[in-house]
Amino acid sequence: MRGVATPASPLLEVDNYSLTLTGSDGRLFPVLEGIGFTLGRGETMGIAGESGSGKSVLALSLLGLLPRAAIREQRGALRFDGIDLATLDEAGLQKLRGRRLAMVFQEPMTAMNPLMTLYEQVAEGVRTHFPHLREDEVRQRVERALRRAGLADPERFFESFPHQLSGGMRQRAMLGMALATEPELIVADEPTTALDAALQVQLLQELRRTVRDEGHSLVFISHDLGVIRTVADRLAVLYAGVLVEWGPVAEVLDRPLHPYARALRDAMPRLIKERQLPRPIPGHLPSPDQKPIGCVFSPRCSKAAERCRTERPGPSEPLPGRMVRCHFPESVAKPGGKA
Amino acid sequence: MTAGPVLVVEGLTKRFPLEQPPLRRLRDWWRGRPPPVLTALQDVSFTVGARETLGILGESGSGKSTLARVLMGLYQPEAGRAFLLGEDLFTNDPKVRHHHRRRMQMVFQDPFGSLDPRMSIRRILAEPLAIHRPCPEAEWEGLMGRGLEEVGLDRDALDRYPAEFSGGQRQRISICRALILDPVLLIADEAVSALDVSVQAQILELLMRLKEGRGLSLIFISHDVAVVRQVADRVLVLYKGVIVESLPASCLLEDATHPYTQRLLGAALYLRENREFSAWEGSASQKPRSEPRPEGCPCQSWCDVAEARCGQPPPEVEVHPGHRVRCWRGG
Repeated sequence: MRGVATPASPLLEVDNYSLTLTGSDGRLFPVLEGIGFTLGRGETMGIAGESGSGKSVLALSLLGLLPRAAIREQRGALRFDGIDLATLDEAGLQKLRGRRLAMVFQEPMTAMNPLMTLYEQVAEGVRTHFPHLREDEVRQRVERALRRAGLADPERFFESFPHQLSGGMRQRAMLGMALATEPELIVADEPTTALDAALQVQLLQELRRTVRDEGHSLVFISHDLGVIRTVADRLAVLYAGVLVEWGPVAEVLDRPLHPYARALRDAMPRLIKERQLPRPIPGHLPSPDQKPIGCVFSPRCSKAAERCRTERPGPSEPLPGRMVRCHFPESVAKPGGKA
Repeated sequence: MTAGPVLVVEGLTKRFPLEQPPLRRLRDWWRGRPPPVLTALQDVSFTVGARETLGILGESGSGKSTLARVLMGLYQPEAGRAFLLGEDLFTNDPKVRHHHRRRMQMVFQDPFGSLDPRMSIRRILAEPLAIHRPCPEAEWEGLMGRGLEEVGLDRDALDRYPAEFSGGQRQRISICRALILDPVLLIADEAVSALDVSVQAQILELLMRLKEGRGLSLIFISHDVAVVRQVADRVLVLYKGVIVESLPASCLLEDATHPYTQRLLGAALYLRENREFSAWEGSASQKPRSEPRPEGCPCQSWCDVAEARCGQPPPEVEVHPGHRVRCWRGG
């Protein structure tokens, strides 16, 4: 039995986690505020938000990859199988990272070493974390991981360098690198944005199958809600470092409670609706050091009332399993309504 | 303004030599074989009407950016002709080419790579004016200021640098730069693909407003079916350098018949509308880049309805007026 958690407890528990970073000029950036969610084994959590909303920072902090010198203050906990990743030292992190925790990066061209063959890229992690394996066992693992990542005939590409692979294959290779050590938690940051729709769908379906069949847990970060719906069980919507809504993915998309979640959904270009431009969200995301006092979304929210500008809403659960941070959640109660 | 089309492109073909290891190159030369080439565009023909938005849809590697670059004069085509307002686009006369640049401008995909980080916005916007000198220098300042306001930015942006702007704002600056010479045709190559959905919608709205207001013709290149369908009047579907289908955007969903177009639509409907979609094993990108392309239809390796005759180049069939398909099965 690993860690101190019981089998029933979630694999990942982000408990009221806040993170403040310092810039080179000493300014303080509260990039994440009171983030809370849980992720069970074999479950996939989609995190959506615009660039600058804090999604990538959250991914990096889950893997302990943020530069320590930049971290000014952390509150709350990032519990992985009972271990708090926020306070774990570098040695402890190194034991987990690449072994029980893995990351799939956005840009495979920069995340892969251009001077290493595909086989060496994948084998490196396996050799590091399983030093007792013989080379033929390493080879077996590399082959299996790449196959599970959707490369039909991996041995054919073992000696290829990253630049010789197409975009889709590089993306599969990245996923193979993450899968090779059979990690319990995979964090994937926009892993398919650079791909075309048909290829993207294929990769997403394979990813979902792999994650389900092998019981990995996945944190999947994307700005594309259609992509998240494909892979995730639950959806967390991040805005300006605040988790504004969290719940089962289909429910959140069909019936968003937070005005931002609704706006984000409506900004997505649609196909079956009559031909019209998607609706833009007016205004722009506030910089982390210039967030409004009240609700972070209030300056862009069409329904903002006085209370929204003065008081930051806390988390509430207006429907079972649905968390929202809004004074006037949509489709539950209207301002001045029955409340 | 002439009533005829703004741009006519006929039989455009662009090939790139493929890299080869020296020994193989030597062997091929010894055996008298021609060096291998990648055909990025093959016999591409289309027209863009006045005030029309032509959408070009295709995945990466389909040749859509090559097409934009050939039209902008950044690559020399191997074959084909093109006419901008009736004048030869690929002429060797530098004066005419210079004049073409002013009438045809481009917005690039990457908002971070397409603006020089060491140049102020003033210098970025003044550069095309300094090259083409459409008006006296005294009027530049007013022109640049109005241009920025037109794309939704403040005049004081002139003294700032690209690094101070977000991706969406940089795309606005790129659009402003492209429009400052008052072109008749704008090429937008994946101009919103690098942006977040909310910003994407803002930039699309801006592009459409400017296009209407200025009476521009637009070539809108994208891999995103939903976006192309919303902005375009007509759509060309490009696959491996070949136009496999062309049809009005309004009937893209209902009438598209080419197996590749169906494939793109299926994936888009799955992602956007949660429709069923089955994965496709023979994806083009599964194969190494240098694999030689088979003769005949580019789709034969994965197409469900491929037949023996698909080994021969398929004919272009007119299904309805304005709807053409390059497939042996026709409509």
